[in-house]
Amino acid sequence: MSIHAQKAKDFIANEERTNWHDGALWHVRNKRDISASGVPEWEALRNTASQIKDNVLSNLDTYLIQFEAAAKANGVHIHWAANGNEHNAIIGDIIDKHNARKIVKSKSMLTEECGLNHFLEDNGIEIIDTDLGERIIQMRNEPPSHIVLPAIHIKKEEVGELFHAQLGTEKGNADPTYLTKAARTHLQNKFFEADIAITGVNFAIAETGGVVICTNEGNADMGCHAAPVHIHCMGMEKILPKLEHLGVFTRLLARSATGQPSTIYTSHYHKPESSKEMHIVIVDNGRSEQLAKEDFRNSLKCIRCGACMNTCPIYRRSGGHSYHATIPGPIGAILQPNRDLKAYSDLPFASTLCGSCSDVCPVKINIHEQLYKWRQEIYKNNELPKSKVTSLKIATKVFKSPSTYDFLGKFARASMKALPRFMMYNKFNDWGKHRELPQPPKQSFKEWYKNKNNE
Amino acid sequence: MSSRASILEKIRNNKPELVELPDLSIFTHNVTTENLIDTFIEVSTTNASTVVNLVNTETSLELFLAKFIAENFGEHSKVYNTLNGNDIPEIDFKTTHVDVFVALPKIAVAENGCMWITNEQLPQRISAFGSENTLFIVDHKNIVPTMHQAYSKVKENIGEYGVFIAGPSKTADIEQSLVIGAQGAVSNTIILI
Repeated sequence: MSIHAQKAKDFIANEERTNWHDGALWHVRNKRDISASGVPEWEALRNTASQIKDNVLSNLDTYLIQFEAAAKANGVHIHWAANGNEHNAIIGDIIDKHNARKIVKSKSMLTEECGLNHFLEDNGIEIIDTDLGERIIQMRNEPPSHIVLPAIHIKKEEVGELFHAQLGTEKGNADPTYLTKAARTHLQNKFFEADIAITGVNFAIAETGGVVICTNEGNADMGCHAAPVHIHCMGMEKILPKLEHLGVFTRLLARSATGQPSTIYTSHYHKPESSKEMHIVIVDNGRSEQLAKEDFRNSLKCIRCGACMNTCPIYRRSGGHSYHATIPGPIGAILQPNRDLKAYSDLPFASTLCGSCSDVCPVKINIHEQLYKWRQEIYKNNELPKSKVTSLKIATKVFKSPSTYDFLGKFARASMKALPRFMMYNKFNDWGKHRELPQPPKQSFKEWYKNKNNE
Repeated sequence: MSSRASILEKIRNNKPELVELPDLSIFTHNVTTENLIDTFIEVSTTNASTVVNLVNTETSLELFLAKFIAENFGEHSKVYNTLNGNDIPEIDFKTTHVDVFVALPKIAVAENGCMWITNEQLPQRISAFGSENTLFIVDHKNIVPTMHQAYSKVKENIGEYGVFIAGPSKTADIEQSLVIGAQGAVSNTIILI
């Protein structure tokens, strides 16, 4: 069984939770639909966003150089990291230079990708995630299960117990308002104690050298404005050419993510506040290789809204952790194989290829087509499990020979009727688990068509 | 070779042929002022802001504001008022409880309730986040239809730091239950003039 299938099996063992998870995410998808349909030019926005990203990817080196020059002119320190280790080392150096011991960090999938938290903790640095969902999973020593809703897999009673144990809230109190207030008090102290604040980056503007960060909680701003030093970590594909392009992307991001018309805070950092220090780390970590692959480079357009996860019938019923990757869901399944084809060869198969992900993607990434293409890459690189290779070889033979196909069709229809239950519903037949097989039809389509023409 | 040089070289070798930027002029929105005000009020209310509409009234803003703050945040509430310029004594937000932050945003956006403030209104950037409540005076003439028009105005003065604020801070990270008041302000009031 693949890792995804095994982990999904663990997740769905709790049926009630699976159903809640499925329903909660579908609700978010629904809110996205209502929000998107309220904007008459929605499709024009998606097309435009996709074209802007096409331009960015085709001119990325120039934009990065322009961005760097503008940011430096603003008094911002710019760093370049070829991979995750270099990213972590750069942050380690800034921390050493300031003798920092306490760090606060707002949501950043990039720092997750680079393993920053572990790196800092191993070096004796306290790092506190300040987004509520991220703080919850950090307390549980877990990775996020969703890029926008990191704690969507956890029930409020579990948060109540966690906060009782770690923040001293009342035992048995699982009221979300009460728990959120407790976290607010806890985090307010952390903001003012912090030596350095770290954030991710939603957009970076080549023309002005600034970075844009979107949150609902206000945690990125609290962190940056309370600490003497702030560091913004960005994947190099986050660049937009000009300020005016933000008009397109800010209209798409929150509507696609949660159905809100905008995030509550959209913050534009261009210069540090007087007597403070601002750093930006530009990270490659495999992105330049992805850029070379014509079939897959479009995945670099992703703005991390999570809409593809909320709509995915597999994601909703298998949970984010089943993807055993920093970025789960359909977009994760096309990003991760680029990093390590062997380790993530199961992910492009965790899909029905229904195409719903591509339909909701605000930058029109052809996610389901890329999933299909990754499957072929995985086959070519001999990373398919033997059982799958064998059955595909048999299928190829069957589909190549009409007479074998007809015979097996007849045989299957007859045996489905004749076989006793235990022969069909057993551990060897995955299609008979948790479901009833359909009644076999009396005749095949070919037979029906032939008879019809003879009538 | 430095990482900077090697990253840029890899991009040069791997990037596709140049694709032109699309035209953004299609995103123009012709709407009436009345429309803009109504939409702005509706969206801001959905974003959990309290909206007071003083457009078409003779009320003195100064008197109204003093009364409103006293009634809602207490007679002796600590106010961080940026309406009369940014020459405000520095406050240590770590040790001082500030009840309400007051500012006049230069741009407000009808489609999503966003209000633009920059370092000009933020002598201390933390003031809009570290204060318990926020209160914005929005001149109805400053309302634009969408983010496209907002950014053409932002362009005139991007500032050292600027932020669109669309309501009080909020989260739904515990079982998708909406809670108003996360790490930023716990309430937001908009007074339309």
